[in-house]
Amino acid sequence: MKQHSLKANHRRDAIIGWAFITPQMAGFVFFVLLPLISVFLYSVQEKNLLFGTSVFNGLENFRLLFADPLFSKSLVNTLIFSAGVVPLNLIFSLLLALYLGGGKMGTRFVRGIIFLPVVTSGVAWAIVWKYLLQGGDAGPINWFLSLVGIEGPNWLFEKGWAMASVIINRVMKNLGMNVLIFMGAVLNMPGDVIEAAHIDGAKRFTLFFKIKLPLLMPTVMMVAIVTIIGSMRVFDTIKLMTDGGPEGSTMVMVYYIYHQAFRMFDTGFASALAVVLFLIVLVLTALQWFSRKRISFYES
Amino acid sequence: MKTNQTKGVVRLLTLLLVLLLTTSMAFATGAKEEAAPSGSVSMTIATWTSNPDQIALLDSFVQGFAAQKGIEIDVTFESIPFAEYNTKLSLELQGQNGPDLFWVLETAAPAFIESGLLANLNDAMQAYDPEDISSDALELWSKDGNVYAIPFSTSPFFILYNKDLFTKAGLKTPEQYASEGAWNWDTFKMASKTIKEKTGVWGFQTVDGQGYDARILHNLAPIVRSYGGDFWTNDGQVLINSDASVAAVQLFHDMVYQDVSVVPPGNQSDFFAGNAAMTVGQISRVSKLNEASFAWGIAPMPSGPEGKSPVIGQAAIGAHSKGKQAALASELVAYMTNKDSVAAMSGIWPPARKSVLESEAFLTSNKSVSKEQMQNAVAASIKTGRVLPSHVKYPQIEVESKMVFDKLWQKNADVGAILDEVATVYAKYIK
Amino acid sequence: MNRKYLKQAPYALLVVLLTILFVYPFWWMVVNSLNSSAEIFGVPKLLPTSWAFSNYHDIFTVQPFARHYLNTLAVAFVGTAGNVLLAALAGYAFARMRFPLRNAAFLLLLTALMMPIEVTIIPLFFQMQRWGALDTLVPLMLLPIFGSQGAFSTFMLRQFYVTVPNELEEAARIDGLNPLGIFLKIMLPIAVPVLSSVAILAFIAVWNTYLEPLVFISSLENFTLPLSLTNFNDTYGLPQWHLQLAATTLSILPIMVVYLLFQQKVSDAMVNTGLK
Repeated sequence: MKQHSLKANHRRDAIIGWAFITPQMAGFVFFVLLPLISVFLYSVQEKNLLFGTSVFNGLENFRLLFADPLFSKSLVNTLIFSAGVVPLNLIFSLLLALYLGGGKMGTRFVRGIIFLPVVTSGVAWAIVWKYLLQGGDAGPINWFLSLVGIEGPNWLFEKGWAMASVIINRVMKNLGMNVLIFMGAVLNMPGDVIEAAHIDGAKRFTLFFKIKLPLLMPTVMMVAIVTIIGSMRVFDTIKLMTDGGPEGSTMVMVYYIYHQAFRMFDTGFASALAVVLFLIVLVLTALQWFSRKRISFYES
Repeated sequence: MKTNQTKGVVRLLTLLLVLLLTTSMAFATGAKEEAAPSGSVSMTIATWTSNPDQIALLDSFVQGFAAQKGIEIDVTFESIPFAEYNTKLSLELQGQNGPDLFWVLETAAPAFIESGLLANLNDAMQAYDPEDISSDALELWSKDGNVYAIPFSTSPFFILYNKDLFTKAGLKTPEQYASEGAWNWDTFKMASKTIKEKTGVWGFQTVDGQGYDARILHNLAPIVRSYGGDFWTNDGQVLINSDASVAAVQLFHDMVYQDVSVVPPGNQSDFFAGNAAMTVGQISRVSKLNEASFAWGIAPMPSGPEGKSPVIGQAAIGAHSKGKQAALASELVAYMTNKDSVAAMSGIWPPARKSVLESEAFLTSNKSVSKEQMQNAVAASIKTGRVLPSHVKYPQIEVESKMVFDKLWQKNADVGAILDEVATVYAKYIK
Repeated sequence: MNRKYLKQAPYALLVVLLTILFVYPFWWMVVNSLNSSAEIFGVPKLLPTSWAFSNYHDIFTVQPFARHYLNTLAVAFVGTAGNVLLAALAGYAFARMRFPLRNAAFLLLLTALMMPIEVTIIPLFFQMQRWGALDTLVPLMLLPIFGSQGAFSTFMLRQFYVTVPNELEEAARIDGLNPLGIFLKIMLPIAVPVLSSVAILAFIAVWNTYLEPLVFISSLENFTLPLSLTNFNDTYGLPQWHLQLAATTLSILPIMVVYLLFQQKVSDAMVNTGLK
């Protein structure tokens, strides 16, 4: 009798539990799981959106991809972009967090304003900066530069400067977020350790590199990986500010996927690109899990 | 605790109020309601214009067609922004509710024909004197003797110029040079340079300011072809690195970087705002000058060592082969490009029909343009002009070659070497 | 006293510098949204020259901007509401119920957290095509509910419900409430702080989405704001800068209001996303 009711209870619990999660899980299957499986299937097809064809062609897309100079270019550009965004973002957000964590002048105000771009849409942020970065003497940035006697470049139309522009645009957009994360970490630093070092007469420089930075390192690692993944996904900034140019110098992977799939309609090839992007993100996520494990170990 | 709660409530209320205000503001300004009368055929026509006058004109054709057929057509015009037109239209034709009729850009023609999305119009055209449409004009839109779209606009590019600036610089106008037979690229270059030096205003703005990227072919084609060069030909030759092409591109490059008289890449100075003395445009652009604060005129494109080589921009209209009323849509396409319709459009979109082109009415169809100007800059060019080269893989060619073309836009660019590189890209696709 | 001020000077300079860097772009945008097209370039102005308030009228006439605004509101509201509701249901079940495959399902769901939409956008396009949902607002409403944003909300709510003491549920059960009743009457109300954080984040994310509408939407009347902003061109396809800036200003407004009202909450919530 008792056995029976226990079993019935189990069954009841199972039904109720699944009833609660089914809406979310069903959506997950259709909007994440199946598309992910499909992208792998498409990547081994000759699949053209305009012509409506889809024919299995083995690893042909991947062969073409590794022979495609634009693919390697977009991969390199993505690396350059990340290599620009990540260190700049980390260094400035860490410095700002240390400053703001010290409770100096204007903390609340500064916190407020550096967070403005974070909540603004990437589209709006890119549109405004496209104007600010006009070449010649038309743009405000170059006007300010001319005040101090510098002739500014044609930012978005010169190789090198264009990449620098999108990098800075992106750093400023997301800086506020990392500042706040680091501030949390800074405020959680054990005060007695720092106090002790102070009393021992440690210089500011030593204090930072020998005491504070090691304490913050776990957070820095994690933020770094999140920022890297974020930087790999840059799309709106590139599309609106440089359209991948000049000379393809800002054509990053995500934009190349869009180009191949929805401008050239070669969705098979674009899926192969997407598979590569997925694998890169997968490795980075694995790294993040790994570092998180280490952090919790460190904390306990 | 209590005060915190009140504060929370106040904030929430403020938020709701703001949302309410924005919503009601949006409602007040009003989205138009669509009325769908029953018992009629509904059709959607996709275009890249959103100009109300032009839409009204197209609508009048649809109504005329409906009256002729004795049916009622409930038509919806859908304007897709020009910059995204090919992409958006292609994606939309994959959906269930794709348009029944749509405009087709010349660069998309081969791919659209190849895709099978365009209905065969041979039968539908029969009723409307197909012989009257010049076969040259139909070439791009046909395959194996079948017509898949009919050009409603065969519009040559010409020079729009600011008379005031020419006078100020002490120059003759392009129209005067043209009548003396001296309107060639050297004169053009000289005029541009003189204006920049004497007035400080840019001498030339490329077509729509997009001559370095989206419209690079439109920008370079008139010079390149009148020098005897070309990009590629439809019979599979790559000519962009020929001596003639290189010389032509060099001329333009010198204007930008030696004379510094052309609005450079990334600069927004605009002819229509009076910030450049010349630009290239089509007849549909002329109405934009109605509000201009300066005197202006139009002249044919300058000629080169190999004479004149006007470039024509074509736009056609086709029927969706997989649409619900493909047959009716095909007939409507043919109706919209019949003699009467074409004549009605000719002031905005010059016709491909010989009978209309040669008519007196066409030469006086645009109020802002004199009969002579229409004759010299438009009608004459339609007969001798050519469209840009085309290819099924045009989107690929465009993206890949743009990356190489970009290298041109710096002071010390080696034009010959860069065009050799462009030729390599072209050769990958053109066989 | 003097020395104290002197010591403060570098900090003051820093604050000024940051203000210029982060506030000026917004200031410049608002000022030039009230200028004519020709006044935008050249020497930057601190105040509008022509105070062209007509720009704010014109943006509604050159394209159906009001419609775009409504579309965005509709997508953001449905997306946010669906996101929060389903996440609360699932998050509660994952935290407090026992059922087979619970942990496996939860782990699977977490994979959505890391999945960039850019990877799956092509299959999603074809799926929407099969469903006849292309060029409708439907995919834009569903994706924030079920994509990585949905997984994130579920995760946050699970973390919250794990900390809720058992006694609450026990008491409710003794009062004779069924599981749905417990969820609706007890669990949903106590989660309001978390729900609102999650909702604010979802709302901002949906409001700012660009790639999805770019791919799924083609006709002008179904545009959302990010698409609309990039479409201020005249009938010849030439940009209308002053209108674009006015529209951009209007599009940022609601988010700015939310942010300024709930500054602490928004920033805290976003920081938690960063640490997920």
